[in-house]
Order: sequence, then structure tokens, then C-alpha cells
Amino acid sequence: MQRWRVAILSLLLFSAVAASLPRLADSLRLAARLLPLSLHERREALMPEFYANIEKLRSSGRRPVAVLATTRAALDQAVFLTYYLYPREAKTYGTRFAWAALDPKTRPSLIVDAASARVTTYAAVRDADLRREPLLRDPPLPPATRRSFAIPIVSSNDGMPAAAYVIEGALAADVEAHVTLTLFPNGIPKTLTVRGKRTFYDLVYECFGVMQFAGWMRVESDAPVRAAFWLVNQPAHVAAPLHLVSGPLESPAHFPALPHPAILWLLNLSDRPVVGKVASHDAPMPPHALYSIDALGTVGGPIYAFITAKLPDGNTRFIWPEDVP
Amino acid sequence: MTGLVVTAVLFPLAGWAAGRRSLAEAFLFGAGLLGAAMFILGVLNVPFVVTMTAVAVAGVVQLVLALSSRAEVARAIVPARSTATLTILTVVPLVLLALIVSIVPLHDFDGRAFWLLKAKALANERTVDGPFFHLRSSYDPRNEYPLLIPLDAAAVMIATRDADDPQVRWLYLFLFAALVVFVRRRIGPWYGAILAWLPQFSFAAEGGATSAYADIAIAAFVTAAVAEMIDGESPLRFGAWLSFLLLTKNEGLPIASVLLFIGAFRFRRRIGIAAIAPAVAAAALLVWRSGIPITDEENYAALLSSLPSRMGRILPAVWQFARHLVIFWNWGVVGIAAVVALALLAWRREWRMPAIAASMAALYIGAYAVTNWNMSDLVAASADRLLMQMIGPMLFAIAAVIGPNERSRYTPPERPPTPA
Repeated sequence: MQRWRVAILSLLLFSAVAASLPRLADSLRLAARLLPLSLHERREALMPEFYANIEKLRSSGRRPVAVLATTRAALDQAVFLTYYLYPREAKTYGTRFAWAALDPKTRPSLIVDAASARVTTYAAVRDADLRREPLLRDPPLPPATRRSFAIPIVSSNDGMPAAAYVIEGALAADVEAHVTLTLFPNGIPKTLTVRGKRTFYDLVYECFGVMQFAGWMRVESDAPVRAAFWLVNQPAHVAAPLHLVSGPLESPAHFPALPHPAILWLLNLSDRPVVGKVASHDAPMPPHALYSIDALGTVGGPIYAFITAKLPDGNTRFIWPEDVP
Repeated sequence: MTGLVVTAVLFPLAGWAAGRRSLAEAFLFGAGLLGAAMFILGVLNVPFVVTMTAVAVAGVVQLVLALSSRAEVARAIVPARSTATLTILTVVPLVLLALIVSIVPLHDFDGRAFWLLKAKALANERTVDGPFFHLRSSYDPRNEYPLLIPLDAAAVMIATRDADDPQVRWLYLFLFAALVVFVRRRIGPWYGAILAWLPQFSFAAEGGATSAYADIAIAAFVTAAVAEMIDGESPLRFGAWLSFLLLTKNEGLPIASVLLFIGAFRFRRRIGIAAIAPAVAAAALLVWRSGIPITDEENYAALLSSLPSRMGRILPAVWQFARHLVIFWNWGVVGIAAVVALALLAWRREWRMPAIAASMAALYIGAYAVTNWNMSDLVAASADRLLMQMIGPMLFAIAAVIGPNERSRYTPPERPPTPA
């Protein structure tokens, strides 16, 4: 073969060898590191935590698995999770609503977080979703300060897909304040230390670790705080401001009588049973109770009341006692 | 170890079932034949094990018959003349790859996400139409991808009774090794050594021999089909390689169509014989796809109608695609050499290799132009693997330009064509 041909072919071969060397060296180093390990240990070394969690899942029986993958990266991981779990049945859901909309009797009940391959709960997946995208990133606060008030309705709950209700808002204190939140009707307390501004993307779940359809919250602080909260429907990107309540109605509130689906909410803020008045009817209420009834008209007695109505855009319209004559 | 033995025995046997050929070519042909047979007969509900057994028995019979005519077999398996240095240089990366494959677990993307997940399902359900492909047991991304290579992997899993991926890693390494040896025999020892070291084929984490992608198989089938086209001897074998192509990846169908068209200039009236196997394979693929849900792959056939309105994306696509050819850490300077060689061949009016390479590149660029994905992202993720598929025409072109010694392998043998 002529020399120039050998030279060209040598150049091509040399370039291929030279280009290979860095990746070859990396691969050999990796092989040397993995050599003393078992197959599963090698996989764990390549996929720290993720593969160990898969091994745990594999040994947890053969129940079908719901793989919730709510981000692009998690969707990739879901595919690998499915790969290693196969032939165990593993259905992947791109949103939590896709799983929630299924028949609870037939959908897989064992939920796995795709990103970590950990067994998790619907509430935890929901929390991770909400944490990523709060609607009110820097909620404005009023100048007035308070030491004690109630948030007349709080919720951490998913409605008909896709609706997700949370309480977003903030507390702020110029000096260190120890704020006790008590979630009713169960009366669960939680004390927070607030200095400066603290925001909440899902007040109920963040502070109490529970999802709750409807409750209310008492807030007491040892130092003045500024506060504002909203009922947010997160997927609809809408927020309705909540009135903060100091006590029961001071005089009858002349609410209009409204047809369903408007709802009249009655709230007993006190620690003892009371009897309120709705239109011409008595409304006996146990301590700390929050009831919802048809909006029949005027409300009186030692209770607090307000009306809610769902708007077409997914928001909630509130009618507060201060809004009616 | 069981997977290694099964892979080393099953596919050459399958390759010999369809006639005598070298070990490397038998492996490639066997991988194509076994997967294609399992798929086409699988569509007709023939159990995989029956197909595997039939193909293996036919291979044993053919091998015994071949061994009885020792002289001809010897001629078929004598390696190409080469220097010891080139042989060592060819073997070293393959040995290193074997070492890596035997130790480092599979950790690629497409291999696990698409191809081997399907292989596991095929091995578990023993059908191409089971609950998995109807999305009833798990989510199967790219559900409609052709199944030839997953079926090969499933055959290994069935034979070893183990559906874990260490058993099938050898399939992908041996496909590469067989391609290297095939290139060494058909184009020349230098080219075998160059291919063995090309990083995109050897040590690339995504698409290389340590992964479980299908691009090396496509590259091998294209190379073999082009070699068959150059020989011009057997339109049936040429058609068989094309059918393997279209059952391996989505782009296999348009590539096979291009090769069939260009092959018509070589095989002339016999091209009808070559079209039989691809037609059967395409029909089986169509029937199978019509019965399963389509998932998340783009429908390029439908998108093609949008090409006139997206002509402005052609030049950027060409530019971005071509840039991958000069990425030294994937291709050394082989990509540049191939472009120069193809240009020289075109200048010399030797059109076959430039036409094949240009047509394949045009398919990819057309797909980039009409894609609904972000074009740059798609090019970045796929261009090097698509270039792998063109390695056969690229190396044939370099060999054709560089000199008479190599060209003697490139040009067809001087004997009249014989019927298939």
C-alpha cells in the first residue's frame, strides 16, 4: 500500500483512538470501582438512593403501583422505575389529578413518587406540587397589627379535577413573635416563631400535615403581627381574600337569601355551645363548630357567618357581614 | 455467563439457518432473521419458542451440511489478510468493552426506557400483542417502535429464563463486534480497526456498544445491505437486510425504501425479488401497529405535509446536523474524511455511496425540519446516533477513494449474478 494511503488511514485510526481515550478511561475507572460489588450494589452506586428504593419496592409484594410523575424529570425517572419493577404492574400518571379522577375501587392504591422511587401519599405529592408554584409569591400585608384573630375558613383539599384549594398568605412581625395556630374543628395547635415575614403556600398542610376540606383557624400571638390570607384555587390561578375575624357578629347580618350553590357558613368561635339565628330558625352550634347550610337570609346571635359561591373562573366569591347593610 | 453463551450460539445458528456465511455475517443475519421471524410469526400468533426452535434447528442442519463440505466453509471463514498490529488494534477495544459490559450495569436512557422494557414484556407475555402493548399493565413509551431488537433480547431472556438486563448486554456488544468484523472483511482491516475505536460506537454511553440502543443494529443492517448491493448477487439477501432495517427502528422504513430505490439500479429487474421480504415485514408491522395504541412518538408521515411551510428550517437543520460530524470526541476525524470522500466520489461521478449517504441525511434533515419538538434539542439528542447508521456508506466511500487495494473489496466480484 502506498505510504500516503497508510498515512491517511493511520491518521483516521489515531484520531479514533485518541478521541476514545477519555471515555475509555472513565469507563475503566468506573468498572474498577464497581468490580468488588454485587450487581445490586453496582446499580445502587450508579443510581444512589433511587435504586435502593426500587429494591425496597420490589420486596414489598406485588400490589399494582401508581407512579406519580408530576415533573419532566420525574417522568423520565418513572420510566426507569417501571423498567426495574417490571413485571409488577406500574401505571404512570403525569399529574396527581389523573390518578385522583380514577375510580378509587380500581385505581392502584400504592402511590410511588417517581423522582425518588419512594412510597408516598397523595397529600405529599400534592404538597410537592403546590410548593413549586405558589400563586402569591410575595403576598401584600396590611399595616394594621393584631395579637388575636380567626381565619373563618381554611382548606387544603383537591376538588373536582383540576381544582386544588389552599390557603396562601403571610404573617409578619417586627420583633420575634410566638404565634399559636389552632386548627378547628379538631383543635390541633401549632406554634410558630415569626420574625420578619413568613409566607405560606398551603397553610393547613404546611403547619399541620393534613388535608382538610373545610375548617377554621384561631391565631394568637405574644407580639403584634400583620397578617393576610387568601383562599386560592391553585390550578385555576385565582385567589379570594379572606376577612380576618376578631369575634362574633355584633349585630344581625342581613345576608340575601340565595339559591344553591351559594352556601351560608356559620361559625362558633367560642369554647361553649351557642344558639345562632338564621332567618326565623334557631341554629344550635357546639363549641368551635363550622357549619354550612343553604343561604336563607339574615343571621344573628353569638356566631360569625359569611356566604361563599363558586365563580365560573374557579374562584370563590365571598359575602362577608361587612358587605351587607 | 449464560446470556453470553446463548447470545454467542443462538444468533450465528439463526444466521446459518439461511445459508452459509462468515461468523460475523451469520451473527448479524441471525439477529435480523430471528427477530424478524419472531415478529412476523408473532403477529400470526405463532409462539416465540416455536419460532426460536425452528430457526435454531434449521441453523444446526445448515451448519452440519456446511461442515460436510469443509473446503467451502473454510473459504467462507478465512479472515481478511491483515497485519497483526491491525488485528490487535481491532481486538483491544472489543476486549475492553467486554470487560466494561460484564462489570458496569446498564445505565443508558433509551435502552432501559424503551427497548429493554419492551424486551422484558415480550419475554414475560410471550406475544407481540399482550396487555403490555395495550398499555394495560405498565406505561410503554414509544409503544409503536418496531420490535426486532427487543425480540432478539427477549429470545435471550427466554433461553436463559432470566429477564434481567445483564443477560442481554452481550447481544449489543456482539452486534458491534460482528459489524466491526464484517467491515474488516468487506472493506478492509484498517476500517475494522477504525470502527472498533470510534467513540460513538464503542464507548458512548448513549448509543454505543455498552448501551442497549438499536442504532448499531441499524448501522450493521445498512452496511450489510450496501455490501449486498455492491455484490449484486442475491436480491433476496438484499431484501432480507432491508426487511431487518424496517423492523428495527422507525427510520428503518424510509432508509429501506431509499436503499431499495438505489438498489434497483444495481439489481434491475431482480429488484422485485428484493422487495418481497420488505413488503412482508412492512405488512406485518402495519397490521401490528393497527392493533395497538400509539403513544408519544411524532407521526412524521403526517408531519411531512407541513414541510413546504417549514422550508426555512432546512438550512439550520443541515448546519446543526453537519456540525455533529466534526465533533472530534465522537468521531475523531473520520466524519470529515467521509464527507471529503463522498464529495470526491460525486466529483468522479461514482454516485452510489454519495446517493445513499445524501438520501439518508436528507431523511433525517427532513424529520428535523418538520418536528414539533425543539429542533436544536432533537438534533443534539439524535444526530450522532443517526450518523452511526450511515457508517457503512461512509467507510465504503473512504475505501473507494483511498486506493486500489481497498477498492478491490469495494467493487463487486467479477462473476455474473446468480439467482437468489
